[in-house]
Order: sequence, then C-alpha cells, then structure tokens
Amino acid sequence: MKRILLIEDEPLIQKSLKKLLEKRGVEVTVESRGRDAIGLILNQQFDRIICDLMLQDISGFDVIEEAKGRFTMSEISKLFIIITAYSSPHVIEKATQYGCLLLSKPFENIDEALNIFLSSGGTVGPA
Amino acid sequence: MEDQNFTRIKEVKKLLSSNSFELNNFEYKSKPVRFSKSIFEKKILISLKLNKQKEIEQKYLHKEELRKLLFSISEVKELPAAILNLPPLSSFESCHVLVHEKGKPVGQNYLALHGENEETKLIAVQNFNTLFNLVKKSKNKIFNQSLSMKDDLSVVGNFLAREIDLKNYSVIYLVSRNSFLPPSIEEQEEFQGLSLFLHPLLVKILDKEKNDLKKEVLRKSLENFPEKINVKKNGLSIFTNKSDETAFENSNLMIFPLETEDQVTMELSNFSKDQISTELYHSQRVSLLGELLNTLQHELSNPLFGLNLTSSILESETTNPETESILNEISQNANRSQTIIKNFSNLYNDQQEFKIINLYRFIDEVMTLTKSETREIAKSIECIGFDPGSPDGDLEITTNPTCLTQIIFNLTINAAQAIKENQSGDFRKNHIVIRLARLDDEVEISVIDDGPGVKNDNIQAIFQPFFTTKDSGTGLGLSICQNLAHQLGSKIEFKNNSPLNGATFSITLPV
Repeated sequence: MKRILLIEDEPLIQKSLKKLLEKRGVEVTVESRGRDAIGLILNQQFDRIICDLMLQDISGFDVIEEAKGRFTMSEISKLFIIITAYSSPHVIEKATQYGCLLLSKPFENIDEALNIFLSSGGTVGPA
Repeated sequence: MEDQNFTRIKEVKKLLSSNSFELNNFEYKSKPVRFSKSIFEKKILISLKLNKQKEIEQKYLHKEELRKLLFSISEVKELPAAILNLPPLSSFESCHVLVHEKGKPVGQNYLALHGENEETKLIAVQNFNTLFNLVKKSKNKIFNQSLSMKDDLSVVGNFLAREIDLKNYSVIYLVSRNSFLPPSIEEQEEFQGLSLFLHPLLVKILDKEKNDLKKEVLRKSLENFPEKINVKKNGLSIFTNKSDETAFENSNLMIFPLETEDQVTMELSNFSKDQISTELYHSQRVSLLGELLNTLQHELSNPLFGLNLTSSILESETTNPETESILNEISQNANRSQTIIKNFSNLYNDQQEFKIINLYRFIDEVMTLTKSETREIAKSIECIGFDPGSPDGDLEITTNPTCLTQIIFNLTINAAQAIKENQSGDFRKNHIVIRLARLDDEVEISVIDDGPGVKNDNIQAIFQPFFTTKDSGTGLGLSICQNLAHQLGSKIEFKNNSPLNGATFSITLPV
C-alpha cells in the first residue's frame, strides 16, 4: 500500500488521519470536496480511498457512483472504505450494496481503524 | 379531568351549534309570545281555505277580544283557563289541553276548572293515542264519559273535544260542563272555530317552550362549566358564567365562532385548551427533540472526534509536560461531550418502544444529564435488594426508556430547584438520593430530596397541569411526569419526608 486518498471535510479529522497514516509510511492525498475528489479518482492512481459520507457539496455515495466510470463493482468494494458519523440502518444497507467496508466515527480504537485502512485492498487502476 | 372537560366542551359546542333558537335571548323567564296580526290572520285564512268554512271565518276574524285573550298566553298550561274565560265557552266547567310531543313516552295533561287552580298531570302515550284517534274519527266531536278515561280526564257527562295534529306534537283540547246536557249547536261551532286560533298559537308556544327548556339546559351547563365562558354578539358580552371580567380579558382565549351573521362567538379561558393539549404538545416536543438530538449528534460528533484525534496526536508528540496535560484535558473533554450527546440521542430513540434496560446504569446516565441543574448538590444512587457492583448484579427491567428518563430527569431537577429555592448560596450540605428498591417482582424508584417539601395546602394540586409555586414555572412538569407514568402502566406517588425535611416522589415498575 503506497497511496491513499482521504476524502474528509472535517479539518481536524482530515489533518489527524493524514498525519497518523503518514506515520505508517504511506503517501496521503487529502480532499474536502466530493467533486474535486472525483477528478482525482478518475485521473490518478490510489491503493485505497477513504471516503466520508456527509461532504459539503455531494455525498460519499455520489463519489462512489462516479467512480463506477472507471472501476468495476468488485474493484470499488476493495478500493473504498466509507467512514461516517451517521450510521443509520439506511446508510449501512447502502454501503453493503457497494460491498464496501464501513467504519463509524468516532473510531472506538484508532489503531485498529488504521490497520483496516492499510489492509490490502488490492491495487487497482492504471499503472 | 381533561377528558371530562373535553367532553363538556363538545357538549356545549354541540348544543350551541344546533341552536334553532336565538342566542341573544338568554333570559330565563319566558316572554309572552307575540306575532303580528297580519301573520296571524294569514295563517287562519290558510287554515280556513283548507277547511272551506267561510262562515266561521267571517265570524271569528272579528272577534278581537278572543284574539287578545288567547295571545296573552305564553305557556301551554295557561291555555285551559284562558279557553274557559272565553265568553262563548264560559258556561263550561272544565277544560283540558293534552299535549304529546311525538316520540315521547308520556304527554302533558293541562287542566283548568272554573274558579280553581290550574293542574298539570302526565298522561301515558297509549291513553293519549286512544283518545286522539277517537276524537279524530268523531264527526260531531261530542263525547261522553263512557270512554272510561276517568284517571286522565276530570269530566262528568258530555264533553266536546277536538284534536290538532302539529308537526312535532299532537294536541287534544276538550271542554265539559260536567253534566249530561248536550252542548248547543252554537257552542259546538264556537268550539270548532277555536281550533283555527289554537293551531298557530300552539305551534309558536310549544316550540318556544321546547327552546326554553333547551336554553335552560344550555344555560345551566354553561353556568356550571368549570372554566370561564363568555358569549359575545357583535363584540358585546351577552352571557358569561363568571363575573370577574378583568381576569378574563387578561388570559389568552380560545374562541369558537357560533354564528357568523351576528358574529356570535364563545370564548373559553385558555386553561381548558392547554389542559386538553398538554399531552399533545408534549409528545410533539418530544418527537421534535428526538430529531433535534439526532442532528446534533451528527453535527457535533464529527468535530468532537476531530478534537479528540488531534489532541491525542499532539499529546504524543509534545515533550512539554504542561502542554501534554492540557492536550490530555482537551481530549478527555471532547470524549465526555461525545458521550453525553450520544446518551441523549439514545435515550430519545424509539420513543414508543419498551426495551430491557439495566436500571442502575440507566439511572446513572440520567444523572449525568441533570448535572448542570443540580450543580453543587450531592447526588447518590442507593440500591436495595440488588447489587449493581457485582457481576450481572444490575437489575434488568423492561420499560420505555424515553418515558422513564424524562420522569427521573424531571423529578431530579424539581428536587434540585426545591432545594435551591429554599436557601441561597451553599447547597453542599444538601443531598438528592435516587433509591432503587427491589421488592419481589417490582422495583420502586424514589427521588428523595432534603428541600422544604410540599406545603399541605398544595399537596392535592401538585399533579394538576399549570399548578406551580415557582415564579418561572409552567406547572407542567409533574403533570407530564404523571402522564408518562401512566404510559408505563404506573403512577407517581408523593409524600413529604418525616421526621426529616424534604419530599419523596416514587414510581413503581415491574421487574
């Protein structure tokens, strides 16, 4: 795992996670806006995309939908990890449809969360 | 209490909206019935045309004095005496007027004898109908006592009778001179002609009597209505059941329009309205609060999580012990805030649902919520009959957590306010105890304070809506608690502590 895209609009969470992940030796690109993130996803290569659901402009699910233009459902399920502070049954069901992992904020154990982020998702996308 | 008032308001509204009578005429005492000569004559002419009795028409329309006499009557019971006083019939000894309102089991039997007081009796509907049909079938309308209606009719010998069939009433009137002398042809004519006068008169009088009765019922129900009522017509008060006008005007009103044309309205003091709606408003508030808390949880937990994460990272990086301790505090406070908001939303979730809860832990969570209101006052949870400290020692009960939270929350806040009102400044010696006492298959939850307790005069009223002794109180707290307790199939009991000071509110729930 070399490159991670973190889509998160809460500045403190964004900065902290970036820092923690970098400590684990990965390159982290951060993005607050969903639309800008889509541009990155379609044009760059990431080993993992950590995506918040409630973004300022669009939802995390909208981002995943756009990612379908480049990735198969199977690839998406491995590439994306959804993080959210609003894990209603409806949200969980939708995440399950994409086959993505979903982590609720606040993370009960930050180290475990980091391990999950760094677990092998299988590198996808153009070399 | 609420249900009762609500039913009463409905009754009053129903009565008022079904008014075939005029609301502006609220006087108890009936006024004499008057209607114009032309209307009266028109009515008679119509009747006469139908009967084709032109001779009688000519004869009677000029009998001004007869008309005057009859029209001084305002009640049916005055009618027999008035008939006997008519010059053409003055040789008769007794007069009956029998009235049956269609559909009623009994009729009224009004009697007048010359020189004696009027009398009113009841007549069974079967007897009335027998007589009515008999009179109807008779051509000459002359009868005699052989009818064997001694109980109902005070007549001896021959009598003249006539039936009148009105829309809502059947009426029979009869006269007798209490002898076996047959009435003369002239007397028979006079008697028959009388019905032409009586028909319109009876219609008016009977309807009015019925309305008077209705009005009396309405007036009594309005007068005895527990709250203030003011009926206005064109802005002027035409009826009120309470005399202190100023107090009425100062309160918020609930206004029912009754009649648009004359702008007749009924105003109710706001007490009843709020009383009825207490529960409704409350449940609306609770569901709004639930939504609000969900939003709050989401909006706050994200930044709080950020705070927590950042301060943890910085704490691990710093080498300055003072900074480290400050960052540690920030992290802990963020955590605590997160827990509080989470507890709040959990408590308000699924309001209608009964769930299994661990009682001690549950009460402990509720206590965190009361922290700001009960600051400086010591609080403790006492467990009797179970030990939450031991493994699996906490008591499990099935209840509606939202209701129970609000009850315990309100009672605790009340206790704290009672303590604070009693003294100023130092509350550190005061104590609120939440006692959880398990008794077989029940648990009694008591909120015990050492404040001033409730004055004896007020004990009866404390659960009533809008009763409050606080300057800024709404008086709804305890009444809401009692409603919630009912939803849990229980009720809140109250007693003043003795010999110590303070009050104890308890609720018993099944385990």
